[in-house]
Amino acid sequence: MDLSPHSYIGPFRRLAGFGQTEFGDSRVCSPTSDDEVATILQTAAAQGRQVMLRGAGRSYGDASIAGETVAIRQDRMNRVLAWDPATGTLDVEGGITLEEIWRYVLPDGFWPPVVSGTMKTSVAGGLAMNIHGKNNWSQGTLGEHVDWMDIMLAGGEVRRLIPADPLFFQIISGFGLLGIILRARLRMKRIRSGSLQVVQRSVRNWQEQFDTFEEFQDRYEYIVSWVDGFHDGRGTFQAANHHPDDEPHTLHASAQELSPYLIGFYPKSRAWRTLRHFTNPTGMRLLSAAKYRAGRLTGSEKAAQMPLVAFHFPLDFVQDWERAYLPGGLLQFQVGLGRENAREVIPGLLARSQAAQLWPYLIVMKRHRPDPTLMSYLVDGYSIAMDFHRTDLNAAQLDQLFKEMTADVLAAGGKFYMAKDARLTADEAKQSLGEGPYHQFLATKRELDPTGLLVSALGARIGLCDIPSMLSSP
Amino acid sequence: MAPRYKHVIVVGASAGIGAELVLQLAAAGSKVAALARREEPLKRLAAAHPGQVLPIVHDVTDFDSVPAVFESVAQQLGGCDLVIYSSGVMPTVGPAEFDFAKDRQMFEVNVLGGIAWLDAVAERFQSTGSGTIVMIGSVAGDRGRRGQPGYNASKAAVAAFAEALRNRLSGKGVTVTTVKPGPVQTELVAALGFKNAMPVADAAARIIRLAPSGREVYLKFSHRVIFAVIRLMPSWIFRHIPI
Ligand SMILES: Cc1cc2nc3c(=O)[nH]c(=O)nc-3n(C[C@H](O)[C@H](O)[C@H](O)COP(=O)(O)OP(=O)(O)OC[C@H]3O[C@@H](n4cnc5c(N)ncnc54)[C@H](O)[C@@H]3O)c2cc1C
Ligand SMILES: NC(=O)c1ccc[n+]([C@@H]2O[C@H](COP(=O)([O-])OP(=O)(O)OC[C@H]3O[C@@H](n4cnc5c(N)ncnc54)[C@H](OP(=O)(O)O)[C@@H]3O)[C@@H](O)[C@H]2O)c1
Repeated sequence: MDLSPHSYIGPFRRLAGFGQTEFGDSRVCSPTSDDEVATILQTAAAQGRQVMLRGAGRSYGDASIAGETVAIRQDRMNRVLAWDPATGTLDVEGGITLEEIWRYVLPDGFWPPVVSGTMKTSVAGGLAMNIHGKNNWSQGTLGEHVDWMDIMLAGGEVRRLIPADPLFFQIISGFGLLGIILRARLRMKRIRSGSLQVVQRSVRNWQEQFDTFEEFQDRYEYIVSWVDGFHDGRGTFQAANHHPDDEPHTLHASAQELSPYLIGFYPKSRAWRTLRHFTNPTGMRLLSAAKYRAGRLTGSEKAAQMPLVAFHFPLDFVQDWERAYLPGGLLQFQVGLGRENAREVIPGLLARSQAAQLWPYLIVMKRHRPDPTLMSYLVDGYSIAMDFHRTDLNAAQLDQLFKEMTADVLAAGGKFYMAKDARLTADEAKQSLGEGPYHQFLATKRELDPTGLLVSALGARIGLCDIPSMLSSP
Repeated sequence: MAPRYKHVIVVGASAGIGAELVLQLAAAGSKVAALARREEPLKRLAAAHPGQVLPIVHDVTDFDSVPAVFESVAQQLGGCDLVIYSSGVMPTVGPAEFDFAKDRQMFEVNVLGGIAWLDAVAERFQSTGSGTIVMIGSVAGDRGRRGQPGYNASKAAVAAFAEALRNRLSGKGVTVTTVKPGPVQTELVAALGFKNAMPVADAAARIIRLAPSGREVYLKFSHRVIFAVIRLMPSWIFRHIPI
């Protein structure tokens, strides 16, 4: 890479949030070493540009976009640096994805301790947002399974942080605004089999949803529920544990590959085109009803065996499914609510969207526990994630609905997951995160990045960084 | 409602069509950078829409500076999804006058400045796979007329250049539109005393409406018909027509 001071820092690229509602054009570079990262930071600063950190681009909103910046992508800093199958500690570069990790450690009988619903997430991106999995209630967040991290500050200084450092749980959950996560040591989870034992229960209403979570939460590592967006709380609950028996033959990537075909013959790579025909209220009502019926038919408390990958990443197997939401894109509303008021607020959010005739096409509910990060989004309670199809016709109404739902969540002291957010204002974010943590973040930002080099559209929107424009906002 | 184009750059914005484009785009909610040599009129545009118009002094004949100016302006705006090139000059040329200095000036502003801008913009838009370019040509570029050899040739050149870009960038997510206005009531043609020149507000509104078309467009249906005929007319007939 030519990094002379006059050089051209990578070509312009259009970067999008996963939901395809937010975009920004940046000059994108893919460094391969610390030195290159440092030189890019230095060059950008010298040229009066700001820098934005881009992981695998799986955040739905504007967390990893910022127009007119230099984007540092970490796709070429994705190496495994050390692996100790005796202890399960894995040293990796920040750009490595969860997929690359599980493929690497599975043959030795390990699995990442926390995975998101997509395996395309990078470790650095996952730590910047402090991702959670279906096992959040029992295992916590990804950031709680890290022994140390090497970070580079905006000025180029590299520091190794351990959990006892006050900065550790600020960088984790720091939205990529405080420093660059270069490397980390992660503790993998030992497993005996590549399968999970999954039980499923069909639930008929909200009361059953919450009761079922509480019934299963202490007996199963993974608990999650799908909610039908067209009804009042009905859905399908799943709980799973790692298979307890030694099954060495299943500890291979080949045992995890899913068929590239749906119902035996239809290529999954084309499924999104078919899905397009269903991304409307009638189509989705039909699909949801079918899914619910299928859940009722197959719903049984008898444990069924399921490969890890199929259980964790079903969406990854419908390649490009998000494209079914084009051209308007997809807005997700994911919030966390305390146990004390989740039973009231969560059904209220769905009722509000149904009343506005804006039905969420996919709803997922999970059980959570608090985490130790500064910008935490998790509470002892539940999260609900609702996917909305955005169109030219409903865009304004959808924004209005998000405003109203946001007010409901704020009134209940709820939290917002910034990896999914695209609409929160700075005041709303401050109220939700709390004045104390919010101001602490700003103080840390000033200390670590005094010139404000690291930015993102999300950060600017919620007031945690500044992207100066010669024009004030209209 | 959000404007179709969030961030617009108008080159040649201190007067005439360009200035009107800035006002209308800003009124519709776009953030607009207004570029030209004269600062005062640009500042007046900015004052008319506070916080939405960014006045930038720039001479398009400073060709080498164009890529850096473009990038810096886009950065100051916070993005760029539409660039309109409207800079143009048309000095008066007598019926028997052959003045290389005037012709050269027309080529420098109308053609070379335009090419410098379109090259810089096309490079970025090609790699982001998005964006719209509008080149203001003229009906005067459709034929070589006796009255304005240099101007005609300059407008023919930009039309050909823009057409080539449109063909190159088709399928790459980039829209290139060539607009060929007839007479419009601006300083440029004031001396010529056209009787039914189009009001500038009307011309600008039509240009904004036609920007997404990705074609070569006239501002009036009658022009489309008349100039189709004129383009087909043999030279030995055309030379007898007093335009
Ligand atoms: C289908 C799907 C399912 C999902 N399911 C879940 C889920 O179950 N649980 C969950 O928690 N999330 C989930 N997510 C969200 C996703 O895991 C998070 O958005 C995650 O942060 C994406 O990581 P990324 O590598 O794509 O990073 P990006 O989205 O590109 O970036 C995320 C953040 O990381 C910052 N960043 C990037 N690189 C660095 C670096 N080197 N140093 C510091 N900061 C950096 C960016 O600036 C940005 O703020 C899901 C997303 C999808 C698309
Ligand atoms: N008016 C018509 O009847 C008509 C018809 C067909 C086509 N057109 C075309 O439409 C475009 C706009 O014309 P108009 O009628 O609006 O003309 P105008 O009122 O004279 O405005 C021309 C603009 O070009 C700018 N310009 C000239 N030289 C420049 C330079 N060196 N660097 C930067 N900017 C420069 C001027 O700004 P500064 O002087 O401040 O730099 C001014 O803003 C031209 O391309 C013209 O050929 C006009």
